[in-house]
Amino acid sequence: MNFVKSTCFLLAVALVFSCKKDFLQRDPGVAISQENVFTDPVLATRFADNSYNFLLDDFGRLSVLQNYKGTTGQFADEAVLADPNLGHGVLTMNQGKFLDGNSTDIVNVYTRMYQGIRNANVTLSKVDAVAWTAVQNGPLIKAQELFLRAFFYFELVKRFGGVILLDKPLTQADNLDLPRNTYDETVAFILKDLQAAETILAAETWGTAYSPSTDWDAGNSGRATVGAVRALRGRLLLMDASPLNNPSNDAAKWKKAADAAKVIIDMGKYSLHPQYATLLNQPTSSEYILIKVRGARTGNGGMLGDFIIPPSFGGAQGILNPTQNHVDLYEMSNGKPISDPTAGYSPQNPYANRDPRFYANILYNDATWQSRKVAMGLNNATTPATYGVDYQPGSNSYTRTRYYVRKLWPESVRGGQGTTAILNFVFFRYGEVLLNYAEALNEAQGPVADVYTNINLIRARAGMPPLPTGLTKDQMRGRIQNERAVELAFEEARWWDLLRWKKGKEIVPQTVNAMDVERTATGFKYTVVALPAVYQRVFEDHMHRYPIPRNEIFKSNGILKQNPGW
Amino acid sequence: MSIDNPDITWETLTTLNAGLDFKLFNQTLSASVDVFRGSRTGILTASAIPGVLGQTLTVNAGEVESKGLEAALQYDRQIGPVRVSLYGNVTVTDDRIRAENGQDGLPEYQRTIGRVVGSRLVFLSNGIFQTQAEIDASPRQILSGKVVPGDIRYQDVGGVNGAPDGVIDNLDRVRINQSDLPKAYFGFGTVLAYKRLDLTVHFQGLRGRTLDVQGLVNAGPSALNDESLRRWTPANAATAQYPRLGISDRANNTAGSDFWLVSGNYLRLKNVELGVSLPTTLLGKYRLKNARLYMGGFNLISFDSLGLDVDPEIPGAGRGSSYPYVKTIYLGLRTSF
Repeated sequence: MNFVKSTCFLLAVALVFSCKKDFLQRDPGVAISQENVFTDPVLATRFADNSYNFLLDDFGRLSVLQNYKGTTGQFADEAVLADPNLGHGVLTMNQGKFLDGNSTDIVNVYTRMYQGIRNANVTLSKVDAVAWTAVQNGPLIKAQELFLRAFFYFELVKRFGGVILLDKPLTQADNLDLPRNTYDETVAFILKDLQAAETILAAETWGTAYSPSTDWDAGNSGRATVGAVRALRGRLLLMDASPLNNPSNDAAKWKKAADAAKVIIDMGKYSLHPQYATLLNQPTSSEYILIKVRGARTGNGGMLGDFIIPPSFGGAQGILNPTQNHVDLYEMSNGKPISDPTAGYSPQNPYANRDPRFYANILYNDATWQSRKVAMGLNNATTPATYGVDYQPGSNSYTRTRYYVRKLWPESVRGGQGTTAILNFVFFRYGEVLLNYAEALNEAQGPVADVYTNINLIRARAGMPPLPTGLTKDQMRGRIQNERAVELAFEEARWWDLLRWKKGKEIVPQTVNAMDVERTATGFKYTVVALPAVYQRVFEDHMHRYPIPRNEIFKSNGILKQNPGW
Repeated sequence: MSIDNPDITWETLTTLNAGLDFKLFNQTLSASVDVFRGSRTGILTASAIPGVLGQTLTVNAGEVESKGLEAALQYDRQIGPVRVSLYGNVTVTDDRIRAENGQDGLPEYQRTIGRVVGSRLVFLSNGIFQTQAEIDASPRQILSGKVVPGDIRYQDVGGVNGAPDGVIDNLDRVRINQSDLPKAYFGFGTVLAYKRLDLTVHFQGLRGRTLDVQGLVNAGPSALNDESLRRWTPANAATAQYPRLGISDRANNTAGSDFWLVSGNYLRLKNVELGVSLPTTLLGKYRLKNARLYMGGFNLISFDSLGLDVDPEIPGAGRGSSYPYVKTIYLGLRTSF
């Protein structure tokens, strides 16, 4: 009893004295104010590095339900999203409803880029005042932030055209109802940032961590380099010279784009990875100019397991499905397009003797994959009729087109298992630089020898014969556009190419086709069929530029102007 | 990337209340009536700051207006040998959102402002497709890969240009004033005593509540459960209560729509008890001061129109992690020495 009494007494004492009056007043203990961050060079570096996190840095990124699903190829003629769920950020784009809240490439990217721009601007406004020690390098941090700010603005300008330009962080007390800058001002702003970044990166050396000739050491790979700055400039100038932004077809713009690409070629630092099929799976490569550095991936959930790999291979959903439209772009291995009667294309044996990149990019019926044949055919010999294990009609988890993406599925990665492989999201690679150069040069000067040389480099690496000589400028343009669709397939290129070529209205609304496969006594019967209405697309001329998100227009009190047509 | 807002504070509740308590008829009838009207201002909501700031902020800018009535009535009287006690109470409220950020740019029919708290954003359904011809003649539904007879038909309400556009999509979702929150709660009952017998009856219920039964009907592996028998098939097309059963590609029939909204109103006999006090003459020899024998039950009868075999008081119970109220019948003897 005495024990109980004394315990009660102690508890009572504790209750009386334990609670301080300001118990609910939570003064920051671990939270660090922004001012304090920039008094400590280590914290300042970490704050700066956070800017990288705002880049759009993976293939699947559009879905609000699972953020590793949905890619822009599914807006274009490249692929469809088998699971017609509005939350995956693709369907509303297919329907031309760019202003819908589910069009995440518009709504979410707009705010995400300005968040990145803010982080870069905060860093840039403080970077000169930080007391850097030998363990950090202020100028290199500044260069990276300039590059990243340029990258964020590039993501905005390629979607929206001219946007609000900010070179310093704002606070909520500032006037935030700002008018848009023009397209030209936005491009000039990006070029200025890139020039400033390049100047630093080309001059600064920092111990063994960075020098302009060797770039970053292994522990810092994935950071901005001179090559990355130039590659971004090249992509920007190519976009700027393209029909969407160059209606008068000013050859000087094309020349600037060609020169920007040539500078990278002349660096002599980059070369094509010898094997196209393993291009995305290298820890390092002379072809990589800038990649997102991340660990090896498994097929157990995530982008591979839940977006690429179907249940029949142990995954959850294989819903990034290449279209027949895309498959038809692969030439025959003799270098002729399948529409050419002399090419030797057989509609009943459609996968024989194609461009080797077809086999590297696409998984098709009867292909051998992970030690078995991919089976997607209807079998009428059984009662009731059955389907191969890799296809289920009407299922949201299997292909709708009878194709899966091989390029983003390393063969060693088994669905639902822990086996891993590298799959890099490549921001810039040398192959794209060669294609950019050839395209710009052809527009500036016509199909001169250098155009052939660079396109043929790409083709030779893939195992394709050179382009036929004597092409006209228009024919060459067509071949280059086809080359890009094939070479850069599923690498977030096709949709942006269609927009800048102003070919959206021509290509996107075309009937999206799939392949119907039926087993016969001797093999398979192949029939090209149109996909159901939900996979067909709407595209109007004004859609070559995205609309500014609707809520931003409403919040700005009429100052932010919408793009024409929206 | 949210910024701290040092100005964030508590919500402000302002209430105007008028009440009346009275007793009549020789104090046999007592009543209490309260009417109130109030507003909660400064509810936390997202700020209306342009995205160009690169940061988000939470502010005290939401507002809800409430009005309602509370009433209680009690009647006690001895009528000869019978003592009668009757009582009842009711609470009626109406809560409407007056201000919430993030509503600009939405079509009027999708805004929360002016609508009840907890309003639902749903497609408006129009029965079930019976034939392919009906599908062909209707606005295109693109919520799932295919639409076939047996699927829910939706109404085309809006489109990009504000008018119906022949396609069923997000712009056809409408915010309706039907909420999970009841508009009225009530209870009533009686206590009767006659000589040694006594009887207690208590009812409770609520009105003005809508429930979404989609999750209940589509619960289970591949949505298979005992409700599946009431699914649409070509054979029972005329009487089917629910759309066809689909294992996959079923987004058309699982989308939030008023098809799945049913009245959550119910009246429940919560408790009934009959007791008898045993005579002291009988008890004396056992040296008991008094004893009461009683029997009764909880949750014996419920009246609702859910159309599903679930507890209207906890509709999700038994299908998820929560436990339903159990029906209880008891028999007891209480004594004192």
